[in-house]
Amino acid sequence: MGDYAAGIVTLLAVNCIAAMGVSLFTGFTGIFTLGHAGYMAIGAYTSAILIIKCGVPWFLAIIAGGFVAMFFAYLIGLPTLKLVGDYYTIASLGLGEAIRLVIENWNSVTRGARGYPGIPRYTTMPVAVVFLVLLAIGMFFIINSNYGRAFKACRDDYVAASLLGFHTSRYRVLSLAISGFYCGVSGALLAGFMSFIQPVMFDMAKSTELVSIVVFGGLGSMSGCLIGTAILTLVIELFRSISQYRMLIYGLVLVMVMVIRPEGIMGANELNSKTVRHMLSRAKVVARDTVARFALIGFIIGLPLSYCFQPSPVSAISLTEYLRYIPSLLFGSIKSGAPLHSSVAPGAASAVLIVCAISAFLTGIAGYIIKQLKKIDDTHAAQRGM
Amino acid sequence: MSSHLELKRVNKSFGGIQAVRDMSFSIPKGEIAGLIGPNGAGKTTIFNLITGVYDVTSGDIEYEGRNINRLKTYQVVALGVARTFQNLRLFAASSVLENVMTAAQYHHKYSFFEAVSHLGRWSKTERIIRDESMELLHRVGLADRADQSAGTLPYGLQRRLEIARALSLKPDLLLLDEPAAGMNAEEVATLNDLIVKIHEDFKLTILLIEHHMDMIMQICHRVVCMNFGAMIASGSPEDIQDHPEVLKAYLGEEE
Repeated sequence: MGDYAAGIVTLLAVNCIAAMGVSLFTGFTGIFTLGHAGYMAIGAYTSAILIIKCGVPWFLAIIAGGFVAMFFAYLIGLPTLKLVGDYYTIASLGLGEAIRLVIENWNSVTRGARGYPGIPRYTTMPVAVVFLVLLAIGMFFIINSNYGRAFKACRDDYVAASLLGFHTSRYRVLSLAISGFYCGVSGALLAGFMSFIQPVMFDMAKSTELVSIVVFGGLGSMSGCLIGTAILTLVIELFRSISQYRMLIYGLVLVMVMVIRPEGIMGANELNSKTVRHMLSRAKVVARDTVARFALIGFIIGLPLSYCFQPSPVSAISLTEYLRYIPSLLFGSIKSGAPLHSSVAPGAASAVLIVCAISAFLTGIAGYIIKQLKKIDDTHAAQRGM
Repeated sequence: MSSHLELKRVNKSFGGIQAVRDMSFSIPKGEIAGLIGPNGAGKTTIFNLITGVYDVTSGDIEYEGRNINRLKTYQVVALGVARTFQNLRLFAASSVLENVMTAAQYHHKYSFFEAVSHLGRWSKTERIIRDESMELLHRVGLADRADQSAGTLPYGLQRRLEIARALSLKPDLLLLDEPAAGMNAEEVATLNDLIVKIHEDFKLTILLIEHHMDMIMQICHRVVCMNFGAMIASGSPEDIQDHPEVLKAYLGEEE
């Protein structure tokens, strides 16, 4: 795997960890937050300072970053989560900015707005992936335990929850502390990935991005938040070649989900065989209605296929380069000096043609398969006497 | 028999509105008591006062001789009080089983680290919680719908689910807020049987709010009737039935 791809995977893992934290708090405990980038900043700076000033091993520094962020989250949660309602959300608006501004102005420790350079690059792809896997397992385990049920109970109906013996505000604070830990670890990993951190990296926009990822993936679905992070991170990264327009596509993707699936990609379901079957059957209905969506599916499958069957001049470039090149082709804005093979252009043009041809072909096949699946479904329904 | 729950001159006002006025009654241990009264009489407010959702303005609520005026909801639960709600408060998106498990876990705890790692007591405790919940679902006749999401159940079954959820807290005192609301006569009859049965099997004291008078007459040992926040009569169901004040409250006064 190339450096570029490894970088994307690392960044993806880092984002996933932060998104899981926000998902627990917003999706499972039901409190919106607009300041979680602040906890990432705390984690990042803690880890950076510990490594550079105190010579702490990076592994311990990451964990410490998580725990310091968790501690701050706990302190902030105590007064703001006592009450039910949007108090924390309003407070978090200011808190995220307050944490950033403290870091920006505390020159002696954080070196202020110029940023904190010279952090060793300890976040390699394996490190990030191992952290992601461990933290994801932990998160799924929490959700499938009495704590997960308690969080959901507090979210769905706090009066009922408190009359089932839950000290609801304590669970809200616990949820915030755990999510602070995840964001702290994520920030620490980000510091080791970038090797340079700056307060502006953890601004309001980052906080909003975290929430939008979670809403995009589906509130109350941990696998949804991972899928959402993957899609949105890839949208940003793949379209880097059309830098000024990529946020347009980012917005477009968000709007599309809002229109097509307002409950988020996964809704409140986790990714398991039952949901996949359900989603497939839903997708069948949706797809049957719109031919355009067939074309979309065809395009997604056709893209890698067109790469495999591309005319000879293009075969010299790697898959990632090819993927990065497709958007600039479609949107007609090729960045000068893009690191692409010079002989790409004629090949790529024909590649797009192939993509379209294949999508049309796949549209037919997909339609046929869906028809068959529908038949099977109907038979089952008839057998069940429905 | 000693009194299980006793209200002594309890008052509750919301701003200028006095919702409960000088309510005093007591329920002996092991009885089924009914709380009746026209709509807006303050019955549910009494429940909210007992369970700590509201604080009393003045007066005392005693549970087994202990003053529980200032206790928070979850502390009242710890004493052994469970309740259902008039306007159902199920976790609608969760499955039927999960609804009961959420409550059943109250008596089966494990540490946070066992939850994160799924080691130690986790698997055993989760199994116990699940088994207990399933048993309760069997009891209320919802076992075959365990995986359905609670919000999609018919109304009558949702009420039964609320009872199962409350029972999983292993209470001594069960407060039922209009368990038969919206049910037809047949459903009410089976609910009657259920309530009588759980009353015996779990050795419960039950206080229930109800508008179905035949239900009150059949299963209650004593009845408290209130109107406009104040008690107007109390006694055996037979006494209440013919009480002039009660008739007045329900039927209006003769000109």
